[in-house]
Amino acid sequence: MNFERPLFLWIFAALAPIAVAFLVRRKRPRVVVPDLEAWLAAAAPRRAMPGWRAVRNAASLLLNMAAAAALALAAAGPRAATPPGNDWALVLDVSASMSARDGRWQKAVEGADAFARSLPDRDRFRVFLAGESPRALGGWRDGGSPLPALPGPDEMSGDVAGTLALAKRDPAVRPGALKTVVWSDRASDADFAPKISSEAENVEVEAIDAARAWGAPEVNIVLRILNCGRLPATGTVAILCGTAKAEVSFAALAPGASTTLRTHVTAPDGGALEARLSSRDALDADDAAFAAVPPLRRALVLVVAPEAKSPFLSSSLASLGDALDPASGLVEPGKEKPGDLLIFDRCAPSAAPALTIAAPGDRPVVENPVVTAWAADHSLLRGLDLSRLRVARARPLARDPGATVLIDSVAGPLAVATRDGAALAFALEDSNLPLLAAFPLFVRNCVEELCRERPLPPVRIGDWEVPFEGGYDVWSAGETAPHAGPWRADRAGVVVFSQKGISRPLAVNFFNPAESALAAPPPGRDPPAAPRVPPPPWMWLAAGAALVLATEWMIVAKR
Amino acid sequence: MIFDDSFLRTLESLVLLARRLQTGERAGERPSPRAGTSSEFRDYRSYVEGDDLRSVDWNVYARFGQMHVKQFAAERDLHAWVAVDVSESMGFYGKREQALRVAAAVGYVALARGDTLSWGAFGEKHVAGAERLRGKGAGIGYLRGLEAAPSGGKTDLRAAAPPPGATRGLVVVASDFCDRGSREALRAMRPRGGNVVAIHVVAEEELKPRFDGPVRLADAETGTEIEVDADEATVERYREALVARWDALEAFCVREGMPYRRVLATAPLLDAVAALLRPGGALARR
Repeated sequence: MNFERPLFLWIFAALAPIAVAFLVRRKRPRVVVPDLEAWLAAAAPRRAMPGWRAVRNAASLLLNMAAAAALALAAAGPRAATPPGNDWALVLDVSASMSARDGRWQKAVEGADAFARSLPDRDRFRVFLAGESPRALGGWRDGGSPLPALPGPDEMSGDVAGTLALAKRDPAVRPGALKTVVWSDRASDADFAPKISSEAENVEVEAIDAARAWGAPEVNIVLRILNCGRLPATGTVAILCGTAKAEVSFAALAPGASTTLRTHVTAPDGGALEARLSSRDALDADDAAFAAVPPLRRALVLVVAPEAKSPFLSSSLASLGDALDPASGLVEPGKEKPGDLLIFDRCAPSAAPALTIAAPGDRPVVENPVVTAWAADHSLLRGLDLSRLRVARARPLARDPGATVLIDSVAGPLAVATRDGAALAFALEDSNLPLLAAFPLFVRNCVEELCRERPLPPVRIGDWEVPFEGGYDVWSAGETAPHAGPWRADRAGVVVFSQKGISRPLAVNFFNPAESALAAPPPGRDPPAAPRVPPPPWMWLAAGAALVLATEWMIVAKR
Repeated sequence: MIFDDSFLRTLESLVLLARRLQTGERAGERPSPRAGTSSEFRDYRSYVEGDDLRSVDWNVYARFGQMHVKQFAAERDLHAWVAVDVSESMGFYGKREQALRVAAAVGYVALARGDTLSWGAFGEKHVAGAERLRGKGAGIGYLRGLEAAPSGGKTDLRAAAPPPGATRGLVVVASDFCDRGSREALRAMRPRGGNVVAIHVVAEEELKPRFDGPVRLADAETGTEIEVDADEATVERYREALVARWDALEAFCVREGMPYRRVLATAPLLDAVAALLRPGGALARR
C-alpha cells in the first residue's frame, strides 16, 4: 500500500483535536436532585443507562475518529501496490498519406490520445513517429496523461517497421513490458493497429518537367499523372506560371496506370510554375507540383578559330536563329571572352564549356579511321545517324576515365564528351560530317547541352521567396543530405527548404506510390480496452466516513 | 443556634405523648401499670414475708387484724429514640435543617419532661448520637450534638433503627424517606409495645423544579444520571409521581398505626411543631 498524496496523512494529527473537542463539547447542564425515583417514573422512556451511556460516549468518540481517519486516508489517495504495468509504444504514421481527406490522421490522434488517457497509472506510454526517419516524441509518460503536441503528417514516407524496431531498442522499456500500437494506414507487425483509414480514390501528379529551349518564350511542360485509386480517373491539371495559364486533361486513366501530359505556356519571364489537379480527391498533398522556370535567354556562342570561320559551322549556328545571342561570332585565339559555349576550331581550348574541333597535339595522325560505334543515346548525339560518317584524317583522342566516347573507331575515339564539353578528333573539312544532315543537329545539341546554365533569379512559391543562390539547403525526398546545386523541382519527391532551423515542404510531386496509393486499409486490431479500474480506495474511504458519521448521528447525537 | 430561648420555653410546655406507652426502667413522671414507689396509691395486698414493714398499713391491721401492704403505682419515664436523617438528599432546600429542628424539639421536650432520650443521626449508617440522656441539663449537649452531626451518604433507614432492646417507647424518625426500603425499615424499627412516628420532611421546591429543558439529572446520593427533557408534561408527570409516592408512604403509616406527619422544610418551626401537637399527633400540650 502506498499513497499518491502522503502529505495528507498529516490529517491524522487532527484526531487529537477531535478527541479534545469531543471531551470538551457542550453537554446538557447537570442538575443534582435529591432523588431520581420520581423523575425515572416521569421520564422512563428517556432513561439512559450508565453503562450504555459510557458505551455510547466511547462509540461516539471512536466513530468520529474513525471517520476522520477514513477521510485522512481518502485524501492521501491510497493505492494498492500493484505489479508494474505495460510500456506502450504508441506509433503514429506521419507520412503524407495520413493527411488523406477521410480524416485518418484525426482518427489516429484522437484514438491515441483516448487510449493514452485510458491507461491505468501503472502503465506508461511513449509516442513514436513513423516518418522517413523513425523517432520518439518526448519521453515516457504515465498512463492517463494526454499526448504531447504532434507534428502534421507531411513526410514522404512512413517507416513503421523501423519505428517499431526503434521502440524495441528503447533502453527505458522494462523487460517484457513493451506493447505496441500503430495508428497507420499501412499494415504493420505491431501488437495492435486500430483501423483508421478507408479506401479512397486518389490521383497523383507524379512528376513535372518544365524546360525552355534557348531563346524560346514557350515553356515546355511534361506532366506524369498516376491513378492510385481503384476506379478509372478523369481530370484536369491547371498550370500557372506567372500570368500564363494552361490546362491539360486526362480521361479514363485506368487504376494503377500513369499517363504523360505535355503542354506549354508562354512565359518569357519564367518563375514558379505550378501544376495542380483541378478535381479534388482523397489526398491533397500529391495534387500539386512546382517547377522553377528560367526566363527566356539566348546562348552566347563564340567560335575561336585562327582563320576564317568554317562555313559549315557558320551555317549550322545560323540555323539556330533566336537561340543565339546576337553577340555570338568569331574571335581570334587569345582574345576569347566569357560565353555560354566556346567552339575551338583547330586551336587548343582555353575555357569551358567548349566544343573542341581538331585540337593540335602530338598524337599521331591516322588515315581513314573506320567508325565502329557511336553513342546514340547520349544527349549530344540525340537524333543523329552517323552510319555514313567517313573520316579521312584524324588524331584519335585518349580514352580518359572521365570521358565518354561518343564516336569510336579502330584507331581510337574520334569524339568524346568530358566534364568541360566535347571534343572532335578531326577537322570538319577532313570528314563528311558537315555534309550529313546530322551536323546541324549535332551543333544544336551541343548548344543546348553544353551551354552553361546561369544562376536563376529568385522565384516566389506561395509566400516563400526562393533564391537560387545561397542561403538555403534543399532536401529532396529520398535524399539523406541536402541537395547540391540549384533547385530543380522536377525531381521526384517532396522538396523541403530548410533555413535557420525552419523547414517547410514547398514542392510536392510524390514519386512514392505507397503514399499516394490509398489502398484498402489493413485489418484493424484494436488495443484492448483499458481494464476497468475499480473506484479508487479513497472513494470507499470517503463513503465509509460518511456512513460512520451518519451512524454516529443516528445513534448518538440524535438522542 | 437552632433554637432561641423563647422557642425552648415553648417546648417545655409540650408533653410527649405516645399512643402506646411503655414504661422505662427509670422512674419518670409518667404513671406505669407496674407497682412502684410513687406516692400514688394503687391497691392493697396481703403481707408476705419479706415485705417492707414500712409499707404495712397499720390502720387496716388495726381494723381487720390482718396485715396488708399498700401498693403504689410505679412512676416510669418514656424512653424516646429520635432518629434524624442527615443523608445527602436532606441537603436540599433546607430539609436537613428542618429535620434537625424538629428532632431537637422532640428531644428537648422529652428531656424537659424527664424522659430518657436517645438519639441518632444517620445517613447510610449511624454517624452520631447519644443514649439515655436525662434531664433538662442534657438538652444543650443534645442540641450541640445534633448541630455537629456530620451529613452525607445515602439514606438507609435501617441505620436509624435503635439497637435491639434499646427502647420500648417511642421512635421518632425525621427524614425525607428517599430510601426505597423505608416501609420495611419503619416496620422493623417499631419497638415492642411502642410506636414509630414518621416525620416526613419535604420541600416545596421538590414539587416545582427550578430548571427546564434538556438537562442531565444526577441523583445526589447514588450519582446515577439520567437525561431528561424537562418540559411541562414531563414535570407534571414527575410531580404526580412524587406526590403519589408521598401519599403511599402516608397510607402505609396509617395502615400500620404509625403517626405520620408531613412537614414542609420552609415552614416556621412553631408551625412544624404545632402540626405534631394536633389531636392524634405524637405530641400534645399537657
